[in-house]
Amino acid sequence: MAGLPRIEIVGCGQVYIENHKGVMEYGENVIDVNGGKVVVRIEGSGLSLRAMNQNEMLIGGNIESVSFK
Amino acid sequence: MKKTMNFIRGNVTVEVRGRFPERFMNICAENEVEFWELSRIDEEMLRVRMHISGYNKLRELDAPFEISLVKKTGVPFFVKKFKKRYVLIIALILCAAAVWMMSLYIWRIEVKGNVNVPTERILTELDSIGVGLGTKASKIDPYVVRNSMLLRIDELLWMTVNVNGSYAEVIVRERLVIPDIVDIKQPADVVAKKAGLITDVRVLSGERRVEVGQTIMEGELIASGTLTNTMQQQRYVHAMAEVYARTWYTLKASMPLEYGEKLYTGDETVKRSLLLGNKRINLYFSGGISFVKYDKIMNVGTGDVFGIMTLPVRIVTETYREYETALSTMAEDKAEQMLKTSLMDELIAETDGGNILATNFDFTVKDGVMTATLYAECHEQIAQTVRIEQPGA
Repeated sequence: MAGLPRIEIVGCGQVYIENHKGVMEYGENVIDVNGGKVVVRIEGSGLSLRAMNQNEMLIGGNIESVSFK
Repeated sequence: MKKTMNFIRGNVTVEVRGRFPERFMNICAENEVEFWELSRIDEEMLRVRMHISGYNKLRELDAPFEISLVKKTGVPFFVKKFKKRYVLIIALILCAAAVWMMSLYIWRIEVKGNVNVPTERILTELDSIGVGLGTKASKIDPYVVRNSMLLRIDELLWMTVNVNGSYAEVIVRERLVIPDIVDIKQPADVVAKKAGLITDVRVLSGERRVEVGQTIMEGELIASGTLTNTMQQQRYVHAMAEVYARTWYTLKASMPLEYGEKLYTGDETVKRSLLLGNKRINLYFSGGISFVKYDKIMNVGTGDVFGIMTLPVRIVTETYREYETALSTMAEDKAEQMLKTSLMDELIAETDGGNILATNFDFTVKDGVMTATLYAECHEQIAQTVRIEQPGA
Protein backbone atom coordinates (compact mmCIF):
# COMPACT_ATOMS: atom_id res chain seq x y z
CA MET A 1 0.00 0.00 0.00
CA ALA A 2 1.31 3.45 -0.84
CA GLY A 3 3.06 5.35 1.89
CA LEU A 4 3.64 2.29 4.10
CA PRO A 5 6.95 0.50 4.65
CA ARG A 6 7.39 -3.14 3.69
CA ILE A 7 9.17 -5.19 6.32
CA GLU A 8 10.80 -8.61 5.90
CA ILE A 9 12.16 -10.40 8.93
CA VAL A 10 14.54 -13.32 8.47
CA GLY A 11 14.76 -15.35 11.66
CA CYS A 12 15.88 -13.16 14.50
CA GLY A 13 18.99 -11.87 12.79
CA GLN A 14 17.92 -9.66 9.92
CA VAL A 15 15.26 -7.12 9.08
CA TYR A 16 14.80 -5.67 5.63
CA ILE A 17 12.75 -2.50 5.33
CA GLU A 18 11.59 -1.09 2.01
CA ASN A 19 10.04 2.33 1.42
CA HIS A 20 11.51 3.99 4.48
CA LYS A 21 11.74 7.71 5.13
CA GLY A 22 14.95 7.79 7.17
CA VAL A 23 16.40 6.77 10.52
CA MET A 24 15.13 8.48 13.58
CA GLU A 25 17.22 6.82 16.23
CA TYR A 26 20.26 4.63 15.87
CA GLY A 27 21.83 2.64 18.64
CA GLU A 28 23.10 -0.80 19.51
CA ASN A 29 19.90 -1.81 21.26
CA VAL A 30 17.27 0.30 19.50
CA ILE A 31 16.85 1.48 15.93
CA ASP A 32 13.79 3.58 15.01
CA VAL A 33 12.99 3.83 11.32
CA ASN A 34 10.59 6.43 9.91
CA GLY A 35 8.08 4.55 7.81
CA GLY A 36 6.00 7.56 6.87
CA LYS A 37 2.65 6.91 8.56
CA VAL A 38 4.24 4.62 11.13
CA VAL A 39 7.55 4.36 13.02
CA VAL A 40 9.16 0.95 13.08
CA ARG A 41 11.11 0.18 16.24
CA ILE A 42 13.61 -2.65 16.20
CA GLU A 43 14.89 -3.73 19.58
CA GLY A 44 17.62 -6.19 20.40
CA SER A 45 21.35 -6.29 20.94
CA GLY A 46 24.33 -5.71 18.67
CA LEU A 47 22.09 -4.01 16.12
CA SER A 48 23.78 -2.45 13.08
CA LEU A 49 22.78 -0.96 9.76
CA ARG A 50 24.26 -3.33 7.23
CA ALA A 51 23.28 -1.43 4.11
CA MET A 52 21.08 1.48 3.17
CA ASN A 53 20.07 3.50 0.17
CA GLN A 54 17.31 5.95 -0.59
CA ASN A 55 14.55 3.38 -0.48
CA GLU A 56 15.76 0.25 1.33
CA MET A 57 17.73 -0.66 4.39
CA LEU A 58 19.02 -3.84 5.97
CA ILE A 59 19.42 -4.12 9.74
CA GLY A 60 21.26 -6.99 11.35
CA GLY A 61 22.05 -8.21 14.86
CA ASN A 62 20.17 -10.09 17.62
CA ILE A 63 16.61 -8.91 17.09
CA GLU A 64 14.26 -9.31 20.04
CA SER A 65 11.26 -7.37 18.82
CA VAL A 66 9.86 -5.38 15.95
CA SER A 67 7.11 -2.99 16.99
CA PHE A 68 5.16 -0.09 15.57
CA LYS A 69 4.44 3.36 17.03
CA MET B 1 28.28 -10.97 -7.24
CA LYS B 2 27.49 -7.76 -5.39
CA LYS B 3 30.94 -7.81 -3.79
CA THR B 4 32.56 -8.32 -7.19
CA MET B 5 30.65 -5.43 -8.67
CA ASN B 6 31.60 -3.23 -5.73
CA PHE B 7 35.22 -4.14 -6.24
CA ILE B 8 35.09 -3.40 -9.95
CA ARG B 9 33.40 -0.04 -9.35
CA GLY B 10 35.78 0.77 -6.54
CA ASN B 11 34.75 1.65 -2.96
CA VAL B 12 36.11 3.53 0.02
CA THR B 13 35.99 3.09 3.77
CA VAL B 14 35.30 6.36 5.56
CA GLU B 15 34.98 7.52 9.14
CA VAL B 16 32.18 9.89 9.92
CA ARG B 17 32.39 12.09 12.96
CA GLY B 18 29.27 13.92 14.14
CA ARG B 19 26.88 14.17 17.05
CA PHE B 20 23.88 12.45 15.48
CA PRO B 21 24.73 9.56 13.22
CA GLU B 22 21.07 9.30 12.24
CA ARG B 23 21.47 12.56 10.37
CA PHE B 24 24.31 11.12 8.36
CA MET B 25 22.20 8.13 7.40
CA ASN B 26 19.23 10.27 6.41
CA ILE B 27 21.42 12.68 4.41
CA CYS B 28 22.84 9.69 2.56
CA ALA B 29 19.32 8.41 1.84
CA GLU B 30 18.13 11.82 0.60
CA ASN B 31 21.15 12.20 -1.70
CA GLU B 32 21.01 8.65 -3.04
CA VAL B 33 24.31 7.69 -1.47
CA GLU B 34 24.43 3.95 -0.92
CA PHE B 35 26.49 2.62 1.96
CA TRP B 36 27.08 -0.68 3.73
CA GLU B 37 29.03 -2.35 6.57
CA LEU B 38 28.21 0.47 8.93
CA SER B 39 29.82 0.03 12.36
CA ARG B 40 29.81 2.33 15.33
CA ILE B 41 33.26 3.15 16.69
CA ASP B 42 32.06 5.35 19.52
CA GLU B 43 29.23 7.76 20.39
CA GLU B 44 30.23 10.24 17.72
CA MET B 45 32.06 8.16 15.13
CA LEU B 46 30.90 5.70 12.54
CA ARG B 47 32.84 3.69 10.01
CA VAL B 48 31.11 2.87 6.75
CA ARG B 49 31.84 1.75 3.18
CA MET B 50 30.46 3.44 0.12
CA HIS B 51 31.10 3.90 -3.57
CA ILE B 52 33.57 6.50 -4.75
CA SER B 53 30.76 8.50 -6.34
CA GLY B 54 28.86 8.57 -3.04
CA TYR B 55 31.94 9.76 -1.16
CA ASN B 56 32.55 12.54 -3.67
CA LYS B 57 28.92 13.60 -3.41
CA LEU B 58 29.07 13.78 0.40
CA ARG B 59 32.23 15.85 0.30
CA GLU B 60 30.49 18.46 -1.80
CA LEU B 61 27.60 18.75 0.61
CA ASP B 62 27.55 21.23 3.43
CA ALA B 63 26.86 18.52 6.00
CA PRO B 64 27.15 18.71 9.80
CA PHE B 65 29.72 15.94 10.08
CA GLU B 66 33.32 15.33 9.15
CA ILE B 67 34.30 12.63 6.72
CA SER B 68 37.77 11.20 6.57
CA LEU B 69 38.99 8.61 4.12
CA VAL B 70 40.43 5.47 5.72
CA LYS B 71 40.88 3.01 2.90
CA LYS B 72 40.48 2.74 -0.86
CA THR B 73 39.65 -0.58 -2.50
CA GLY B 74 38.85 -1.62 -6.04
CA VAL B 75 39.89 -1.65 -9.67
CA PRO B 76 39.88 2.15 -10.28
CA PHE B 77 42.56 2.65 -7.61
CA PHE B 78 44.60 -0.24 -8.97
CA VAL B 79 44.50 1.20 -12.47
CA LYS B 80 45.39 4.68 -11.21
CA LYS B 81 48.67 3.35 -9.79
CA PHE B 82 49.74 2.39 -13.28
CA LYS B 83 48.79 5.68 -14.94
CA LYS B 84 52.33 6.93 -14.64
CA ARG B 85 53.99 3.59 -15.38
CA TYR B 86 53.68 3.69 -19.14
CA VAL B 87 56.43 1.20 -19.79
CA LEU B 88 54.72 -1.44 -17.65
CA ILE B 89 51.39 -0.89 -19.39
CA ILE B 90 53.05 -1.09 -22.80
CA ALA B 91 54.93 -4.22 -21.76
CA LEU B 92 51.70 -5.84 -20.55
CA ILE B 93 49.99 -5.01 -23.82
CA LEU B 94 52.95 -6.35 -25.81
CA CYS B 95 52.98 -9.55 -23.75
CA ALA B 96 49.28 -10.07 -24.32
CA ALA B 97 49.78 -9.42 -28.03
CA ALA B 98 52.72 -11.84 -28.16
CA VAL B 99 50.71 -14.56 -26.44
CA TRP B 100 47.82 -14.00 -28.82
CA MET B 101 50.12 -14.10 -31.84
CA MET B 102 51.89 -17.23 -30.64
CA SER B 103 48.53 -18.93 -30.21
CA LEU B 104 47.94 -18.58 -33.94
CA TYR B 105 50.79 -21.00 -34.71
CA ILE B 106 51.29 -24.70 -34.13
CA TRP B 107 53.75 -25.45 -31.33
CA ARG B 108 52.99 -29.10 -30.60
CA ILE B 109 52.30 -31.97 -32.96
CA GLU B 110 51.35 -35.44 -31.76
CA VAL B 111 51.06 -38.47 -34.01
CA LYS B 112 48.65 -41.21 -33.02
CA GLY B 113 47.65 -44.53 -34.50
CA ASN B 114 50.94 -45.48 -36.16
CA VAL B 115 52.31 -48.94 -35.45
CA ASN B 116 54.90 -49.78 -38.12
CA VAL B 117 55.48 -46.38 -39.71
CA PRO B 118 57.87 -44.41 -37.47
CA THR B 119 56.60 -41.14 -36.00
CA GLU B 120 59.76 -39.40 -37.20
CA ARG B 121 59.01 -40.33 -40.80
CA ILE B 122 55.48 -38.98 -40.57
CA LEU B 123 56.73 -35.75 -38.99
CA THR B 124 59.45 -35.38 -41.63
CA GLU B 125 56.97 -35.81 -44.46
CA LEU B 126 54.56 -33.38 -42.80
CA ASP B 127 57.39 -30.88 -42.52
CA SER B 128 58.15 -31.24 -46.21
CA ILE B 129 54.61 -30.22 -47.10
CA GLY B 130 54.73 -27.25 -44.76
CA VAL B 131 53.08 -28.69 -41.66
CA GLY B 132 55.40 -28.45 -38.68
CA LEU B 133 56.24 -26.46 -35.59
CA GLY B 134 55.73 -22.80 -36.31
CA THR B 135 53.17 -23.33 -39.06
CA LYS B 136 50.19 -21.02 -38.96
CA ALA B 137 47.23 -23.03 -37.75
CA SER B 138 44.80 -21.43 -40.19
CA LYS B 139 46.94 -22.56 -43.15
CA ILE B 140 46.51 -26.25 -42.38
CA ASP B 141 43.82 -27.82 -44.57
CA PRO B 142 43.18 -31.38 -43.33
CA TYR B 143 41.99 -32.54 -46.77
CA VAL B 144 45.04 -31.24 -48.60
CA VAL B 145 47.37 -32.64 -45.94
CA ARG B 146 45.70 -36.04 -46.08
CA ASN B 147 45.86 -36.27 -49.85
CA SER B 148 49.53 -35.25 -49.92
CA MET B 149 50.59 -37.59 -47.12
CA LEU B 150 48.80 -40.66 -48.48
CA LEU B 151 50.72 -40.19 -51.72
CA ARG B 152 54.01 -39.84 -49.87
CA ILE B 153 53.66 -42.73 -47.43
CA ASP B 154 52.25 -45.85 -49.09
CA GLU B 155 51.85 -47.67 -45.79
CA LEU B 156 49.16 -45.23 -44.69
CA LEU B 157 45.55 -46.01 -45.47
CA TRP B 158 43.98 -42.89 -43.97
CA MET B 159 44.97 -39.87 -41.94
CA THR B 160 43.60 -36.60 -40.60
CA VAL B 161 44.92 -33.54 -38.78
CA ASN B 162 42.89 -32.00 -35.95
CA VAL B 163 44.03 -28.52 -35.01
CA ASN B 164 43.10 -27.25 -31.57
CA GLY B 165 44.72 -23.89 -30.81
CA SER B 166 48.47 -24.46 -30.92
CA TYR B 167 48.17 -28.26 -30.82
CA ALA B 168 47.90 -30.42 -33.90
CA GLU B 169 46.80 -34.02 -33.52
CA VAL B 170 47.72 -36.25 -36.45
CA ILE B 171 45.79 -39.50 -36.54
CA VAL B 172 46.81 -42.19 -39.00
CA ARG B 173 45.66 -45.65 -39.95
CA GLU B 174 48.07 -48.03 -41.63
CA ARG B 175 47.33 -50.44 -44.41
CA LEU B 176 47.03 -54.07 -43.46
CA VAL B 177 49.84 -56.11 -44.97
CA ILE B 178 48.22 -58.72 -47.14
CA PRO B 179 50.36 -61.79 -47.76
CA ASP B 180 51.19 -62.64 -51.35
CA ILE B 181 48.46 -64.73 -52.83
CA VAL B 182 49.66 -67.53 -55.03
CA ASP B 183 47.78 -67.66 -58.30
CA ILE B 184 47.30 -71.39 -58.65
CA LYS B 185 45.77 -70.97 -62.06
CA GLN B 186 49.03 -69.64 -63.43
CA PRO B 187 51.11 -72.52 -64.90
CA ALA B 188 54.49 -72.76 -63.23
CA ASP B 189 57.50 -75.01 -62.73
CA VAL B 190 59.55 -75.43 -59.57
CA VAL B 191 63.30 -75.07 -60.07
CA ALA B 192 66.36 -75.00 -57.79
CA LYS B 193 67.50 -71.52 -56.82
CA LYS B 194 70.86 -72.89 -55.69
CA ALA B 195 73.03 -75.91 -56.26
CA GLY B 196 73.03 -78.57 -53.56
CA LEU B 197 72.59 -82.14 -52.43
CA ILE B 198 68.90 -82.93 -51.96
CA THR B 199 67.96 -84.23 -48.52
CA ASP B 200 64.16 -83.89 -48.58
CA VAL B 201 61.56 -83.45 -51.36
CA ARG B 202 57.86 -82.67 -50.93
CA VAL B 203 55.97 -82.19 -54.20
CA LEU B 204 52.44 -80.86 -53.69
CA SER B 205 51.49 -80.56 -57.35
CA GLY B 206 53.17 -81.09 -60.71
CA GLU B 207 55.42 -83.89 -61.95
CA ARG B 208 58.35 -84.73 -59.68
CA ARG B 209 61.74 -84.79 -61.42
CA VAL B 210 64.26 -85.24 -58.56
CA GLU B 211 64.98 -87.72 -55.81
CA VAL B 212 66.56 -87.54 -52.36
CA GLY B 213 70.31 -87.90 -52.53
CA GLN B 214 70.50 -86.37 -55.99
CA THR B 215 72.82 -83.47 -56.71
CA ILE B 216 71.06 -80.57 -58.34
CA MET B 217 72.42 -77.46 -60.05
CA GLU B 218 70.98 -73.97 -59.97
CA GLY B 219 68.00 -73.64 -62.32
CA GLU B 220 67.41 -77.37 -62.68
CA LEU B 221 63.82 -78.58 -62.74
CA ILE B 222 62.46 -80.02 -59.49
CA ALA B 223 58.77 -80.32 -60.31
CA SER B 224 57.27 -79.73 -63.77
CA GLY B 225 54.03 -77.88 -64.37
CA THR B 226 53.64 -79.46 -67.81
CA LEU B 227 51.78 -82.75 -67.61
CA THR B 228 51.64 -85.08 -70.62
CA ASN B 229 49.10 -87.91 -70.74
CA THR B 230 49.36 -91.19 -72.57
CA MET B 231 47.90 -89.62 -75.68
CA GLN B 232 50.73 -87.05 -75.67
CA GLN B 233 48.33 -84.27 -74.78
CA GLN B 234 49.72 -81.60 -72.56
CA ARG B 235 48.08 -79.69 -69.83
CA TYR B 236 49.58 -77.10 -67.56
CA VAL B 237 49.37 -76.83 -63.79
CA HIS B 238 50.86 -74.61 -61.10
CA ALA B 239 53.58 -76.89 -59.69
CA MET B 240 54.31 -76.55 -55.97
CA ALA B 241 57.15 -78.20 -54.03
CA GLU B 242 59.50 -77.81 -51.08
CA VAL B 243 63.02 -79.10 -51.45
CA TYR B 244 65.67 -79.11 -48.76
CA ALA B 245 69.31 -79.56 -49.65
CA ARG B 246 72.78 -79.24 -48.28
CA THR B 247 74.53 -76.28 -49.84
CA TRP B 248 78.08 -74.99 -49.73
CA TYR B 249 79.31 -71.44 -49.75
CA THR B 250 82.66 -69.80 -50.27
CA LEU B 251 82.63 -66.15 -49.31
CA LYS B 252 85.51 -63.68 -49.26
CA ALA B 253 86.10 -60.31 -47.65
CA SER B 254 89.15 -58.07 -47.33
CA MET B 255 90.22 -55.06 -45.33
CA PRO B 256 93.44 -53.08 -45.04
CA LEU B 257 95.29 -53.36 -41.73
CA GLU B 258 96.55 -49.80 -41.92
CA TYR B 259 93.96 -47.11 -41.37
CA GLY B 260 93.67 -43.49 -40.48
CA GLU B 261 92.77 -43.22 -36.81
CA LYS B 262 91.05 -40.19 -35.38
CA LEU B 263 92.95 -38.70 -32.46
CA TYR B 264 91.03 -35.96 -30.69
CA THR B 265 93.22 -33.03 -29.70
CA GLY B 266 90.92 -32.00 -26.83
CA ASP B 267 90.05 -28.65 -28.42
CA GLU B 268 86.38 -28.02 -29.05
CA THR B 269 84.04 -25.16 -29.84
CA VAL B 270 80.41 -25.01 -28.73
CA LYS B 271 77.83 -22.93 -30.57
CA ARG B 272 74.26 -22.52 -29.45
CA SER B 273 71.13 -21.31 -31.19
CA LEU B 274 67.43 -21.04 -30.49
CA LEU B 275 64.93 -22.87 -32.65
CA LEU B 276 61.54 -21.16 -32.67
CA GLY B 277 59.42 -23.44 -34.79
CA ASN B 278 61.43 -23.52 -38.02
CA LYS B 279 63.14 -20.18 -37.40
CA ARG B 280 66.70 -20.37 -36.13
CA ILE B 281 68.28 -17.60 -34.08
CA ASN B 282 72.04 -17.94 -33.66
CA LEU B 283 73.40 -17.07 -30.25
CA TYR B 284 76.94 -16.66 -31.53
CA PHE B 285 78.66 -14.07 -33.68
CA SER B 286 81.25 -15.92 -35.66
CA GLY B 287 79.95 -18.73 -37.87
CA GLY B 288 83.38 -20.06 -38.92
CA ILE B 289 85.33 -22.95 -37.39
CA SER B 290 89.07 -22.60 -37.00
CA PHE B 291 89.75 -26.36 -36.99
CA VAL B 292 90.96 -28.10 -40.13
CA LYS B 293 89.45 -31.47 -39.26
CA TYR B 294 86.62 -31.80 -36.80
CA ASP B 295 83.54 -33.78 -35.84
CA LYS B 296 80.27 -31.92 -35.49
CA ILE B 297 77.87 -33.17 -32.83
CA MET B 298 74.43 -31.57 -32.84
CA ASN B 299 72.08 -31.84 -29.90
CA VAL B 300 68.54 -30.46 -30.13
CA GLY B 301 66.70 -29.99 -26.84
CA THR B 302 63.12 -31.24 -26.67
CA GLY B 303 61.60 -28.14 -25.10
CA ASP B 304 59.89 -30.31 -22.51
CA VAL B 305 59.27 -28.71 -19.11
CA PHE B 306 59.30 -31.52 -16.52
CA GLY B 307 57.18 -33.56 -18.90
CA ILE B 308 54.19 -31.34 -18.23
CA MET B 309 54.26 -29.13 -21.29
CA THR B 310 56.38 -28.54 -24.38
CA LEU B 311 57.71 -25.07 -25.07
CA PRO B 312 57.85 -23.92 -28.68
CA VAL B 313 61.49 -22.93 -28.17
CA ARG B 314 64.31 -25.47 -28.39
CA ILE B 315 67.99 -24.97 -27.80
CA VAL B 316 70.35 -26.38 -30.42
CA THR B 317 73.89 -27.12 -29.23
CA GLU B 318 76.58 -27.77 -31.86
CA THR B 319 79.88 -29.09 -30.58
CA TYR B 320 82.89 -29.06 -32.90
CA ARG B 321 85.70 -31.41 -31.78
CA GLU B 322 89.06 -31.11 -33.47
CA TYR B 323 90.94 -34.26 -34.40
CA GLU B 324 94.05 -35.32 -36.25
CA THR B 325 94.41 -38.44 -38.30
CA ALA B 326 97.30 -40.72 -37.63
CA LEU B 327 98.23 -43.81 -39.49
CA SER B 328 97.66 -46.85 -37.32
CA THR B 329 97.94 -50.56 -37.83
CA MET B 330 95.05 -52.68 -36.65
CA ALA B 331 95.85 -55.75 -34.63
CA GLU B 332 95.40 -58.89 -36.70
CA ASP B 333 93.03 -60.59 -34.28
CA LYS B 334 90.80 -57.54 -34.28
CA ALA B 335 90.78 -57.49 -38.08
CA GLU B 336 90.00 -61.19 -38.16
CA GLN B 337 87.06 -60.68 -35.83
CA MET B 338 85.66 -57.87 -37.95
CA LEU B 339 85.99 -59.91 -41.15
CA LYS B 340 84.41 -62.94 -39.48
CA THR B 341 81.41 -60.91 -38.38
CA SER B 342 80.99 -59.42 -41.83
CA LEU B 343 81.17 -62.79 -43.58
CA MET B 344 78.77 -64.44 -41.14
CA ASP B 345 76.22 -61.64 -41.68
CA GLU B 346 76.53 -62.14 -45.41
CA LEU B 347 76.11 -65.90 -45.05
CA ILE B 348 72.97 -65.53 -42.92
CA ALA B 349 71.48 -63.22 -45.52
CA GLU B 350 72.31 -65.71 -48.31
CA THR B 351 70.77 -68.73 -46.59
CA ASP B 352 67.63 -66.77 -45.73
CA GLY B 353 66.45 -68.77 -42.75
CA GLY B 354 68.43 -71.93 -43.43
CA ASN B 355 70.63 -73.71 -40.90
CA ILE B 356 74.39 -73.24 -40.88
CA LEU B 357 75.91 -76.66 -40.26
CA ALA B 358 79.64 -75.89 -40.35
CA THR B 359 81.98 -72.97 -40.99
CA ASN B 360 85.68 -72.67 -41.57
CA PHE B 361 87.69 -69.45 -41.88
CA ASP B 362 90.96 -68.91 -43.64
CA PHE B 363 92.96 -65.66 -43.21
CA THR B 364 95.81 -64.36 -45.33
CA VAL B 365 97.71 -61.08 -45.18
CA LYS B 366 99.35 -59.65 -48.28
CA ASP B 367 100.64 -56.12 -48.88
CA GLY B 368 99.01 -54.87 -45.69
CA VAL B 369 95.58 -56.25 -46.65
CA MET B 370 93.94 -59.08 -44.76
CA THR B 371 91.67 -61.38 -46.74
CA ALA B 372 89.26 -63.78 -45.04
CA THR B 373 87.63 -66.73 -46.80
CA LEU B 374 84.63 -68.46 -45.31
CA TYR B 375 83.78 -72.04 -46.26
CA ALA B 376 80.35 -72.94 -45.00
CA GLU B 377 78.01 -75.89 -45.24
CA CYS B 378 74.31 -75.15 -44.81
CA HIS B 379 70.94 -76.84 -44.97
CA GLU B 380 68.17 -74.83 -46.56
CA GLN B 381 65.07 -74.77 -48.73
CA ILE B 382 66.12 -74.29 -52.38
CA ALA B 383 62.89 -74.55 -54.40
CA GLN B 384 61.50 -71.55 -56.23
CA THR B 385 58.50 -71.14 -58.53
CA VAL B 386 58.97 -70.04 -62.16
CA ARG B 387 56.11 -69.16 -64.52
CA ILE B 388 55.59 -71.22 -67.61
CA GLU B 389 54.92 -69.28 -70.78
CA GLN B 390 52.36 -71.44 -72.55
CA PRO B 391 52.84 -71.90 -76.28
CA GLY B 392 50.17 -70.00 -78.17
CA ALA B 393 49.06 -68.21 -74.97
